[in-house]
Amino acid sequence: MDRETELALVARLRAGDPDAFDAVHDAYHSRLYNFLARLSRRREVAEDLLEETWLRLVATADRLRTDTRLGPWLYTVARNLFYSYCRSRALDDACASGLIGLWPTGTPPPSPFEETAARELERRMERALARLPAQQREVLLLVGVENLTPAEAAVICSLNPEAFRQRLSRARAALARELDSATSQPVAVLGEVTT
Amino acid sequence: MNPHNGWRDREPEALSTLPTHEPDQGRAVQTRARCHAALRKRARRSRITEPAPTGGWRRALTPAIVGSLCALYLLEVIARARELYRF
Repeated sequence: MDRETELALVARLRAGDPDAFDAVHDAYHSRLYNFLARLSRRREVAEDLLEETWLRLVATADRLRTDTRLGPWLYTVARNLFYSYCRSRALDDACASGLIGLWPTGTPPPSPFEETAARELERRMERALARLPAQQREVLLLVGVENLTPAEAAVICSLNPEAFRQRLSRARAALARELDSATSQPVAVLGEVTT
Repeated sequence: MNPHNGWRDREPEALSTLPTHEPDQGRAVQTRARCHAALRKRARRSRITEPAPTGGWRRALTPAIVGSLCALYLLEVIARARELYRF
C-alpha cells in the first residue's frame, strides 16, 4: 500500500467510511492474524485479539492522526492487546511452554513421502519460533515475517532503535540455537493439533 | 543504503517464507459486520449531536436579546427594592 493511498484511507476512516475500513481489513487481516497466532501460539486467542484490534480501530477511527501509518498502528494495537491478555491471564512464557507444538498447521501431518525438505525446515522454524520468549519472537516476526522496517518495528515494541537492534540480535542468536537443537533432536515428535 | 540491510540479509530465509495461515473466514465476516455497524452508529450519533444549522443573524441576536431582558429584569428588581426600603 503506497503512502498516498494510506493517507487517503486514513482520511476516509476518520470520516467513518465503511469502504475504507474494508480496504484496510483486506490488506491487513491475514497478516495480523499470522502475527498474533505466532505471537500467542494459539489460534483461538489470535482470533479474539484480531477481532478486538479491528474494533479498536473503528472505535478510535475519528481520532486517528491524519498522518497515521496504518500498518504500524495496527501491529502496535495487536501487540499491546496480546500483552494485556498475557497479564490478565498471567500467561507468561513459563506457564505457556506446554503450548509449544499446539500451533496448528491447518493440514494433516504429511506422510514420509510427502514431506519435503522445505516443509521440514518450515516446521522446524515454527517450533523454534514458538520456543522463544514472546519479546524475542515479536521482533523476529515484525522484521523477518511481516517485513516492517526496524524503525517501524522499534516504535511498535516501544523501544529505541539501539535497544531494538540489540533485542533483534539476541533473538536471532536464540533462534539459531533453537534451530540447532531442533536439528539434533528427532523431528516430527510432537503431536500437532490440527483443529 | 539502508544500514540494516546487512543483518536483514542474514535473516534465515525460512523466516520470510513461513507459510501463511488463513484466519477463520466466518469470524472475519462477523467482525467486519460488527465494525460496519459501529461505524454506522458513530456516524448516526455525530449527525444527531451536530448543531442545527441556523442563520448568522439569529446566532448573533439571541445573546443580545437574552442579555437585554436580563438587564431589564435586574433594573426592575433594583427599582422595587429602592421603593420598598426607601434608600
